[in-house]
Amino acid sequence: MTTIERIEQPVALSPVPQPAHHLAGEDVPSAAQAAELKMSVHNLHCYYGDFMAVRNVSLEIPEGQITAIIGPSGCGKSTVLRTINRMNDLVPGFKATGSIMLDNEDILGPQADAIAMRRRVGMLFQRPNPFPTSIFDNVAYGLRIAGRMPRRQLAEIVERALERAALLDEVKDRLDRSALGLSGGQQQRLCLARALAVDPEVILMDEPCSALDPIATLRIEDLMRELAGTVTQIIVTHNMQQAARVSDATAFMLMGEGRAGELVEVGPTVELFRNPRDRRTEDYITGRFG
Amino acid sequence: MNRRLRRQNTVAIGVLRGMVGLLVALLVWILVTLLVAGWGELTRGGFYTGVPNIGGPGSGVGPQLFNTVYVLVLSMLIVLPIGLAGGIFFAEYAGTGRLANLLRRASETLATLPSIVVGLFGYAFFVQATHSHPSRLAAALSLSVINLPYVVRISEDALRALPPSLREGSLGLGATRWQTVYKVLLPAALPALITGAIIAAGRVFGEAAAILFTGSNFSLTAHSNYSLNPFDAGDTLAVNLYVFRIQAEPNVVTDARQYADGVAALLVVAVLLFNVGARLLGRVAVRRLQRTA
Repeated sequence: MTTIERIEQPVALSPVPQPAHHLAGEDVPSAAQAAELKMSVHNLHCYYGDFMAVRNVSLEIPEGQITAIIGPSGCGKSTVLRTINRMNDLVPGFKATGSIMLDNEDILGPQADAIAMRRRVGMLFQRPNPFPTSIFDNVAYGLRIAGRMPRRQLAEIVERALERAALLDEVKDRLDRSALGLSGGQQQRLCLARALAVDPEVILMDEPCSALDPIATLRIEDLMRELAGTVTQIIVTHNMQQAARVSDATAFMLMGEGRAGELVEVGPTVELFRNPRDRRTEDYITGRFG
Repeated sequence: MNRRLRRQNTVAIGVLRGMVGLLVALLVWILVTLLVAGWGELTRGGFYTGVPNIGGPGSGVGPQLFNTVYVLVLSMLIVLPIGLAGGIFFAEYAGTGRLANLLRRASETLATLPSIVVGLFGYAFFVQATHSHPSRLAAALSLSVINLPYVVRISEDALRALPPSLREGSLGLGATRWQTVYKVLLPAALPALITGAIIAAGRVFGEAAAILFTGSNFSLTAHSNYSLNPFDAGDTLAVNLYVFRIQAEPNVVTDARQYADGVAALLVVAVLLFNVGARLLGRVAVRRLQRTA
């Protein structure tokens, strides 16, 4: 990362207009406190072989809200995210201890069914990853693998998912064309539609805009705000302005002793950026390091 | 850029061009030589329909052409499913543990065996041990042994070369590993798999040593029937070429040399046609599966 990129403006100086829900701010009780918990992470430790990548992270994810995880590269934020839907099961030597509750089930528990859980907890990745098939088949994929469905019903759900991802108008005449012909931003919205088609309760986003231009980024962020309320979202980003623009709550992670990632501070986004309780958070958001 | 670097660059490009030129020249030379030598036979009507005859001139390649295609199809039917399964296993399930690497190395060692050795093994295993006689099935099985490690390897490589994000995208939607393999990864890897299958098939066209022991009837009197029974013996074009060039009596088969030249030319033309055809077919399949317009 270059020096210029690192010195990002703290949110108070951000030229980007704040969403209204943030301006409501201090005198209204924060929505984060009122909402039910959708997920909660308790004492999570993650290991790649012998290396401890995440140490003792506990985090509560309120239902229907957007929680951002920020922090410098290598602080374990992606590891935490990829443990939440057990995507890291694929990594040889990966191990996680602690618990991650989704409603009342521990998805790290011995009885947990990762495949069934992933239908409830969708994911959006750093780079758009459409399958090399048609636009329609991409969105229908999650439904088809879950079981048979009448063609008409399938088409309706696909259309609704594309609509929710604000992509329908751009692609409705070419649903049978290759998804690879879409632009990067369209591809990422297609991936969002693909995730939405199976009606997930939670969507995890791993730096979903890092490969997109600013306009495509804003469209994704608008969508995130529109989905908030119906879908619980967790976004990992190293773009602090994005976290400030889009999230209700923010968690700040940092590499601690032995290069293991630790959670430094978590709180309502407005508070965390205005009055960080921890000195390290303040240093990071004011661009003094990171 | 300073002068030394510039000169270095010029020399490097020159050398590379020279190498490629040499390669192309060699290829053209071989092709032209074969076609010129075999032209007489390739344009003789009876060449394609007649049967080989070591009692005199005027042989044809009809049954051999048929047998070549027959053995090719049969061995592909055997080797493609098994090889693909092996490749999927190594790429998606086996990981990189000790046992998996041992298996991988075993497979690669198998690939280095000379085909004549595999032919002898095929004779001992598929012919003698089963108390049967040389047959096109035994030949196809031996050819499968030759091709299996290769097909395993290209299948594994084709799957591994896919971006991990495809795998994650599918699993992230609640797919099982197997759903991910057959619904996403295999279609995405299809172009590479088709190329690999074509190369494997090309090796069947040209292979003679393994078939000499396992599929040929050694009688040198040709099989003139076009039987579909896999337990019948039958020479392929490559075996026929060897037989007429090396074993036929030049005083009796006065045109043995021309005939062998014709077979050689036909082999090359057949391989070329097969490659082009398979590629076109593959492209259609990929387009239908992936809808890449």
